Amino acid sequence: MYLTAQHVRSRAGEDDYQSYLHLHNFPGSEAFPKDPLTVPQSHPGLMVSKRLRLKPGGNGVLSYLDIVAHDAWWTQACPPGSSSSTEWWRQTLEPIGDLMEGKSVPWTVEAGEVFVIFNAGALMSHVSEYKDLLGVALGLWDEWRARSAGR
Amino acid sequence: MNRALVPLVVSDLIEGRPVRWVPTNRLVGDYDGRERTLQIFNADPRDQRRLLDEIDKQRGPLEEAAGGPLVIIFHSVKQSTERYADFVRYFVRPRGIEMPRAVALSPETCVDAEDEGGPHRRPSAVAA
Repeated sequence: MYLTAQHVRSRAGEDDYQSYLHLHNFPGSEAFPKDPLTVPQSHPGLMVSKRLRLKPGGNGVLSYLDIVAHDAWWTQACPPGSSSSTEWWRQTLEPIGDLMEGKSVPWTVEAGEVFVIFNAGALMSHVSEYKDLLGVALGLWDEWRARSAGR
Repeated sequence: MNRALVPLVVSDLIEGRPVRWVPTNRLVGDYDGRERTLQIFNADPRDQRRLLDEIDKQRGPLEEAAGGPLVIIFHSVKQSTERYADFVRYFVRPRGIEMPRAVALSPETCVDAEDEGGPHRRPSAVAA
C-alpha cells in the first residue's frame, strides 16, 4: 500500500493537494518490495484511487507525504473497538509532526510496520504542512474504504 | 512538547514499552491529577524503580507538557496481556530513521509527474 499526498503549485500560481492510493495485493499489481523505502519511486503498486484538481505534469512540488505499508498491515492494524481505521491512523500518525518538529527534512519515520516520508521546502511550517497532507491522504483512504465496503 | 507527545516520549525513555493517557471513560475515582494519569504496560514490579528513574530524567519537560505532576500506573506483563491485549498489541511508537537523501526527492527541485500510475514526482528539467 502506498498512500501519498503532495502540495503542488501551477505556473499560474494555483495550488492543489493531490492524493493517490496504490495497492500491492491487488490483481494486476506488482509485489511489495523487500525495501519499503523504494516504493514511492520504484515500486508504487497499482493506482486504485486519486483525488486532484490540477492536471498533473510540470507543477512545482511544495511538499509531499508518502505512507508505505504492506496492504494487510495497513488494513488490519486497527484495534478492535476503534471507531474507524482512518481515525486510528490519524491518531497514530498525527503526533509524528510534533515528534519531528525542529528536525531537518526529509523526515523518515517508522511507525510499527508503516513508513512515513515527509519532505517540504525549507521556508514552510513543517508541522502544519505535515498535518495538512496527512489529512488529505487519509481523506482519500477513507473515501476508498467506504467505496470498497459498498461494493 | 505538547500533551499528545508525552506517552511517546515516555515510551522512548523506557525501552519502547506501550504507554498511553488513561482513556477518560476508564478513569475511576476523583483525585488530583486524574487527567494527568499515564498507564505504562509490560512493566513488572522488579523493573518499575528503574523505569521511574528513567522517566525522572525528563520529568520537568514532561510535566510541563502534561500541565502538572504525572500520575503513573504500571501494569505487569501478565496484567497487560490479560486485560489490555488489544492496546498492547496495536501500540505503535513512531521513531525517526535515517534515509539516504537521494531517495527522498527535494521538493525544491521536483515537479509532479504526468503519469498517474506513479511515481508522482520527478526532478524538474531545470534541476536536472
